[in-house]
Amino acid sequence: MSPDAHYPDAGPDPEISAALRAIEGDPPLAEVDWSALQRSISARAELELARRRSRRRARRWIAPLLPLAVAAGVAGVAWLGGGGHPGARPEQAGVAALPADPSVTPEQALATDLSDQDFRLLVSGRSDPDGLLLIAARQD
Amino acid sequence: MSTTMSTTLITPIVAEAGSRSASAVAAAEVGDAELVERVRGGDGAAFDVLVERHMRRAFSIAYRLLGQREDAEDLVQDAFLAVLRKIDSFQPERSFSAWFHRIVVNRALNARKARSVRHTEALPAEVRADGVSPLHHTERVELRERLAEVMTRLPERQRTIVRLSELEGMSSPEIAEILGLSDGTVRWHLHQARGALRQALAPFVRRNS
Repeated sequence: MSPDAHYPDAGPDPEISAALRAIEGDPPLAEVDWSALQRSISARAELELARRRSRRRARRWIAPLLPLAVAAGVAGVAWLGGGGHPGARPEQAGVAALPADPSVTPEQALATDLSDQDFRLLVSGRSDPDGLLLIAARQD
Repeated sequence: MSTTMSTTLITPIVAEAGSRSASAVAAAEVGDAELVERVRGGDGAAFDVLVERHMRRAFSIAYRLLGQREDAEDLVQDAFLAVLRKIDSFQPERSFSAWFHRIVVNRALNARKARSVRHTEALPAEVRADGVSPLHHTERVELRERLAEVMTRLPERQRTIVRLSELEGMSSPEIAEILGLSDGTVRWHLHQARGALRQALAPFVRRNS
């Protein structure tokens, strides 16, 4: 048998309720200044409510911008990955742009902080050892 | 008009503080779940309506458990601020009042533990005599002492359950939800506590019958 069947919920017992009221009295509802209490609660709650409002406003602004930000991020990554111009392979990124710039002379390149590999690429158009050997062999 | 219908007719509350009184009028007709949703977004008017709607009952419960008006008022304030902090965890399909009363009761019990004062010490010195019982003064004093003694001897949980049931008129499912117990457990505690209280009352009932 379930405990519910043992102890049915018959509501308050009138005799016990009356006796308890007699010894404990009723809450002094008339003595409370309800308006003051409510004002006090509202004042103390204002900071948290304001925080919630500003969070909601921020969410309202950020939500429509989020897809744009994601799209911009993806485009940026694609642009960088493509060496800064469409169709470029990732392994060409950075160094491949150097020989294409006619304004940079070998003298200027020497004055700047170029790596050996970049300098070789700038002078000969090849930076790998085999390619450089081939060029040297042709010059001989 | 039903709550659902009136809810749909009400203009959405503007959450800014400046329009608080105007929106309070609209919010007064809205159900608790809807108000909670608005409070989540920082709607002060909706929060005011929740406070207005529940503060008296909360005070009554707090007073029953603490026995001091000032303590009960402080507790009601703290409980509403706790509501605001915890409101994101409230599940709208549940009863707001049960959830809120649970906060009130837990805080009251913690406050009692913290100050380690027995409730009997906080009992009002003068007992109400406005027709509650036909007992004579001396008998009333005797009865009061006896019942107070029995109440003091009851385990804290049973005392709380008896007060919520006999004095606040809550049903056992309501108490179960507030205290996080099963309905059957609440009924068992009530049965035990009532047995002890009836035993204390018996001599007076016999004398008067």
